Amino acid sequence: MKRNIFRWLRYVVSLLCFGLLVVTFSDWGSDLIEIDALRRLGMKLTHLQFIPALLSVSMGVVVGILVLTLLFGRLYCSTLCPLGTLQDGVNWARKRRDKKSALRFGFHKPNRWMRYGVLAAAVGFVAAGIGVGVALLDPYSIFGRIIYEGFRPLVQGVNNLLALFMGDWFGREPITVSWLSFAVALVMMIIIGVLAWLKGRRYCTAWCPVGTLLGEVSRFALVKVEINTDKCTSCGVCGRKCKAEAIDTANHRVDPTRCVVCFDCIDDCSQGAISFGVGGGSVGLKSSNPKADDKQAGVSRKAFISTVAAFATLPALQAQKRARHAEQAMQQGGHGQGGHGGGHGGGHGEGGGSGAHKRGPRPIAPAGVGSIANLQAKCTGCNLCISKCPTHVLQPAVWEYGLQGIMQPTLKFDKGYCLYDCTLCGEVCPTGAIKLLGREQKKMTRLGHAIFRKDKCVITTDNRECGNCAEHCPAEAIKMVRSAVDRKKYPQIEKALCIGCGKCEYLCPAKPEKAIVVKGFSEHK
Amino acid sequence: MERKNGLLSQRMTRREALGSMAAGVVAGALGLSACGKSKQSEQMEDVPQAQGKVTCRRNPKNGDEISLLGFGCMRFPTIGGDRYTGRIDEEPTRKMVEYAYSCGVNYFDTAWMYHKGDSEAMIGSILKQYPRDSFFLADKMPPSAKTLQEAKEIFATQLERCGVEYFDYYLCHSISRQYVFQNLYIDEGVLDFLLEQKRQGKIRQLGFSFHGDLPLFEWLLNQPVEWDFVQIQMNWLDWRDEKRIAEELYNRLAERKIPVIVMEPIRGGSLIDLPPQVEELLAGSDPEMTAAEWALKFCASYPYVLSVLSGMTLMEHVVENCQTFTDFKPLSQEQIELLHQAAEIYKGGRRIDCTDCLYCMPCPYGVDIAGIFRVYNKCVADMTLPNPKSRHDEEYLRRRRIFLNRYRNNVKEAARADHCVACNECSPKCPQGLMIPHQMERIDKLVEQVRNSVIE
Repeated sequence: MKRNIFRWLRYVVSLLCFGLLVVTFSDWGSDLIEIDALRRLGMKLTHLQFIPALLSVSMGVVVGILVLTLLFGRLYCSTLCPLGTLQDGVNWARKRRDKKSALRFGFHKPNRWMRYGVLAAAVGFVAAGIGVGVALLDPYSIFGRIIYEGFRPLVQGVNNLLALFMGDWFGREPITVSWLSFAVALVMMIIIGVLAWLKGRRYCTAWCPVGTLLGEVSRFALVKVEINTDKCTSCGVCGRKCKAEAIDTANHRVDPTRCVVCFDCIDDCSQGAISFGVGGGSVGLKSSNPKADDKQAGVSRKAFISTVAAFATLPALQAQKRARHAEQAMQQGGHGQGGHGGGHGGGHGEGGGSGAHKRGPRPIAPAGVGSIANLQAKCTGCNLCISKCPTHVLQPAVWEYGLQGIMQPTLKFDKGYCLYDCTLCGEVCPTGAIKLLGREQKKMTRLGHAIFRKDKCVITTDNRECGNCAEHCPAEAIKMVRSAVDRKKYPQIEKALCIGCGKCEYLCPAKPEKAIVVKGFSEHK
Repeated sequence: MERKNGLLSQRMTRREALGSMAAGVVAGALGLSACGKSKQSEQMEDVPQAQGKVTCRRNPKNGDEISLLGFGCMRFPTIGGDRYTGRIDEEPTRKMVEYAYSCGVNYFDTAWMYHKGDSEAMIGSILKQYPRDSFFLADKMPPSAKTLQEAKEIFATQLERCGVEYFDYYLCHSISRQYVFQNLYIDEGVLDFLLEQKRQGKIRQLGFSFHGDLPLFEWLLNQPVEWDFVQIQMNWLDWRDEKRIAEELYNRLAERKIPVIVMEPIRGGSLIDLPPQVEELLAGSDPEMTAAEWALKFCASYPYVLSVLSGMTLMEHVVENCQTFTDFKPLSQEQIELLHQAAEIYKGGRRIDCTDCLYCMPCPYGVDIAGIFRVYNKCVADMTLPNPKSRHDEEYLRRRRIFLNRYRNNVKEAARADHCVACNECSPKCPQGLMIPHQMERIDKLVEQVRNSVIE
């Protein structure tokens, strides 16, 4: 089969992006310095993803993607978006199995209500700062979770097998799966996988908010896929082969809002009637069916203008919100530390969260989030920070933060503790939910504070002087002090020094409950 | 032990044929284990034929002809865990002991605490098939006994477990502190009890095994008891060691003409994993001699040594060791000198003197003490211990990876050095006198520094 140069380019770019992101998310060989360059490249790519760029207010990237789309249509969807490549992969597998299935597609009218509805919801979630809502819609985060929860355990399994035989070269990794995040990833994987198997890029053309937005921008694209009506024999093959179901063969028209610019149709046409060029088939075709086109354009133009307007105001809204939070933090700062969890949670309207706070230890958010509210507003649960965490202390939250924070990273001290010198999570976060702190700043950021429970300590239960917490505290916030009452040594915590890294909790030998536990702050100090 | 074996097989040269034969035996043993013991004929085919007899030495005290190779019963193969958590794997153990016996090995050394007490029953049940006067069984009074009554019960149980009427050799186990001997053996009267057993014929020869310093040793030898033999830790690394002073101990015994039983001749396998420079040095004298051979022959080259105990885990060990002692010829004076040099080089590294005896276990806080030392020593031995203060060049990164991977793969997360709370339950039990909590803290710091050193 002949393939045009554009198509080859698309293969190369999309597979490169996909491969690098898979390597980044599956996090194999985190100790291998040799593949560090690859990982760094992969991390750069995460910053080129549309919604993360929007959330982190990297306007350069956002404008860049919009300009790219204005020039070439939804090229983003067929190259940079890893979830798109994943679907192409499924589609390719189906075609390999059954040659005839290549012809299973056909043009149909776009489901506008669903597309704009989802887009409006996404805009709403971003504006209102409901990270979990964005997490369920953003293709990049969906991809991240699928790879992290679905693919990474397999990679780790193979790695552990290798470690069994070549222990010097491979280190065993604990395979941790968070059930909720796994379940969400699994459901998404099944839905998207089945959709791709049956309907090609149906997810991208009917659901994906990024796709819908870029699709609207694509209407004005400079370069488009067009059908030369002089050469076209109306055989309909291109329409039956288009995985985006965007080619209206009856009217010789390619729907730019759904075309993901994969360049396949150019090769599929035996007459060479399809080309990628300046001019735009849709303009020429306008006269053939003016009413329908006008109507469609009318609706979409309105939608387009409103969405662009909405997105344009998002950063402003967010800035406002941040200012509000900062103000709140200032106000609470004075009495915040002594206050109990419920009071804190209530301030940010976390309906489910405050309940969870009252029950157990308050959740601990990674250093760099500023506040749990900021994390919840910006985190899309892509799991990148979790996959990078060297001690595996970062885990996807289940209910720790409440409903608004499911799948977002939280520190679980039964798995490890936060390394004093490490700022990796902030380094990798593409959405700006975890900001990159300087190392010295990180060492002073207080995520929470340790609380000593005398009745659980081994000095009480076994009458044994232990001091493991004091010995390991990196901030030197714990001292062993001899009590004047019973002449035994108990840890004494200097609250102002404690940064809540959880090393003491992780290393506390008391069983079944730890004698020293960290309670998180809603606002980091 | 598997690790030890792997290195052994790599270095096989002269014994290649022998090694492969042993491997066949192990494989055969696994295959046969389902068939049971009834198929005597097949079993016979399965066990390799003895390649001659192990050289014996005559005990000057009573004329016993004792094989130079003694079978230590502390490191039998196990299933379902290590020596502490698992249980003895019977089939291969039986085959190994039977093969050793067929080669003329006749000294078997067990103890109350080996394999949580299963060792005594195991060796007893295997030796039952042979005439009682064709082998010598050694057992020991554990230092954990506190009262005479307890000691009496232990002794009776030991006879019963081993299924014997008497012990040929009996030892006061692991004497490392004067007050322990004073309390248990003198004040409680356990020593008198044991001497009484000797008069009754339930003990033929009485001795002690030793893990202490020189003053304690002399004090013990000056007790008003006639020690028939003494078991000491002796190997080429400990010969001139400041702490273990094997040379001094041996000389004291030789002066008194007391026969010596040697334990830890290869130091729990650590004299198999030799640093490359040591390997080169030894290869310069005899390139065909394996590390185990060097270690065992060193001990046996001293005339007052009656038997050298080796805790063998695999048939391969047994086959090689029996071969080593068949038609035994002592090392030359030059070769012994060479080993002294090797010891100096070896100790240049910073290895921790753990012999993997597991006396320290269980740790109340679940720290895998021996496992951590094993990883550390392995890295010292093959020069892969990273120094976080050195330049972070390629060599450092290589060492870092190997060190961290070994640590991660061999020590469970909850059993790592950072979980040591320095309760010091372990140190008094350590026959090598290691300050275990101190070492744990040191290793933990190293791990942390090495791990964090590349996080940029």
